[in-house]
Amino acid sequence: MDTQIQELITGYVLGGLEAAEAEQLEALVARDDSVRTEVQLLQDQVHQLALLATPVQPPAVLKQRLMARVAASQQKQPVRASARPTAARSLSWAWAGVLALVVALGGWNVALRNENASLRETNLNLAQELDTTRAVRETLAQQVQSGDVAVQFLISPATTARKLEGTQSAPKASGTMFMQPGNDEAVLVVDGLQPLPEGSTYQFWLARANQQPVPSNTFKVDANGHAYLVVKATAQVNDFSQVMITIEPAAGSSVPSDGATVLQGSL
Amino acid sequence: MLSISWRSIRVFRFASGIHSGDRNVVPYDSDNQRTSEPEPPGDNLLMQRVAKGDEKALSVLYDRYSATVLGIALKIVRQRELAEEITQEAFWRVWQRAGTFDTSRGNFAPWLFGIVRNLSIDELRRRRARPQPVYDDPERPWFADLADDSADVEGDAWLHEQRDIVRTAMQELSPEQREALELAYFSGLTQREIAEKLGNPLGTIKTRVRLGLLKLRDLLQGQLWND
Repeated sequence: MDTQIQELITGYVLGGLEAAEAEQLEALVARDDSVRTEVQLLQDQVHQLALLATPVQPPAVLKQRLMARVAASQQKQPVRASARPTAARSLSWAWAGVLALVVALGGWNVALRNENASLRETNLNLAQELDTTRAVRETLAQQVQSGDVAVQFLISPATTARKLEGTQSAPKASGTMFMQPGNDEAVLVVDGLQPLPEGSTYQFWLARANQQPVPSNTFKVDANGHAYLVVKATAQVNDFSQVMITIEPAAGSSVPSDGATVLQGSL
Repeated sequence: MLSISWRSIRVFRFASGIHSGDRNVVPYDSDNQRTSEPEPPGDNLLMQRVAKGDEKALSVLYDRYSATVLGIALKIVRQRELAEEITQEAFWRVWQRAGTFDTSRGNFAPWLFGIVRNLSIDELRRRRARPQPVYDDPERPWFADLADDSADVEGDAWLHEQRDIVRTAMQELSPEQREALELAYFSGLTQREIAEKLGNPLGTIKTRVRLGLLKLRDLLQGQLWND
């Protein structure tokens, strides 16, 4: 291959060409298969040079932030992808059609009364399902809102992280609280907590020095012991000095139960 | 000539198969600890899982490559906090763009390194609008003291092996070719800017880059992820 073209290619894959040279090379790529092939081969190869950089271990909090951001995006995805809402909307129209049909049938033929009654019952069932679906959509919408808050939090340069350590009751548990000065909301990410049986819940608490803890959100963890949530405090989060998570009755508690602490940390 | 022992090459090829091949589906536990199974999942297989929304697969890739990624970003932007942000952003893009990654057209590592390099150089060029004194200090050229920036971290054995192979190959190039290639890859400078910085004619820099890169390709033929 011509030396000048080879120099254009090597300069191009390293991103070192001037604009006019890059345009010249791109024109060559468009009309010459051998140039295109050479560029493709060198484009991967050039990143062998990346291995000349000395590896540096990142801090653990970097991964926690990334995975929390990923988890938050996972929470948002089903609704953002609109698969379920679209289906729900389609069903809404279908049920509306069934309702109209039931009303029509009831009015124009006495012989169809029995069938009409049956359809009315079906309609009632569908209406109940519709209510249930609406409730699910409300929940999903709340999760999206919560996810949005979490993402905004995690990408903000003002956000700092505080570690929560598992107690003797939950030695494998860990958590990170992402907070901002002056903000009464924080994002909490926990891992390694046991899923709780019906009738129990995890509850988050904040406490000022030498004062009774203030109750905050209750939450459940998934089958992997993972949860993330946006917690809201009664004042700026940095007014508090301690946080903890306890196991409480399903409705939550106003004061933490004795010996129920599974995670705790200092702010 | 490049001298790499047979033992080294055998070790590399075994490890390379682990990372770039996708022969087996091997389970890993919730803490991302590799199980007693002999082989961890390959990069491309993990990327297929990431594309399906598997957070654990991303976590494994992060554990495998994050130190290398941070090292690359740090070598380019030379500011720890910024390099950490770039590292997080790079893996976030892996998560978001996993569906566009085509395993038949290349391997994960160069794809990831390309993302990191682009992010870092974009940031560097933004900052260059507000010149950093370090780039203009003739007594202390920035690329000369990079090795002292941070402690070497014992990372993934496969990457360690790959790194040794590339470094050994680089020693086969002339010092001028090495300098030109490193500047071209890590500085974000165009060849014209490199020529001005080093006080050499542009044609000389273009020749060094071309000969250096092509010689490196010959030396590493069949040894890294491309093959």
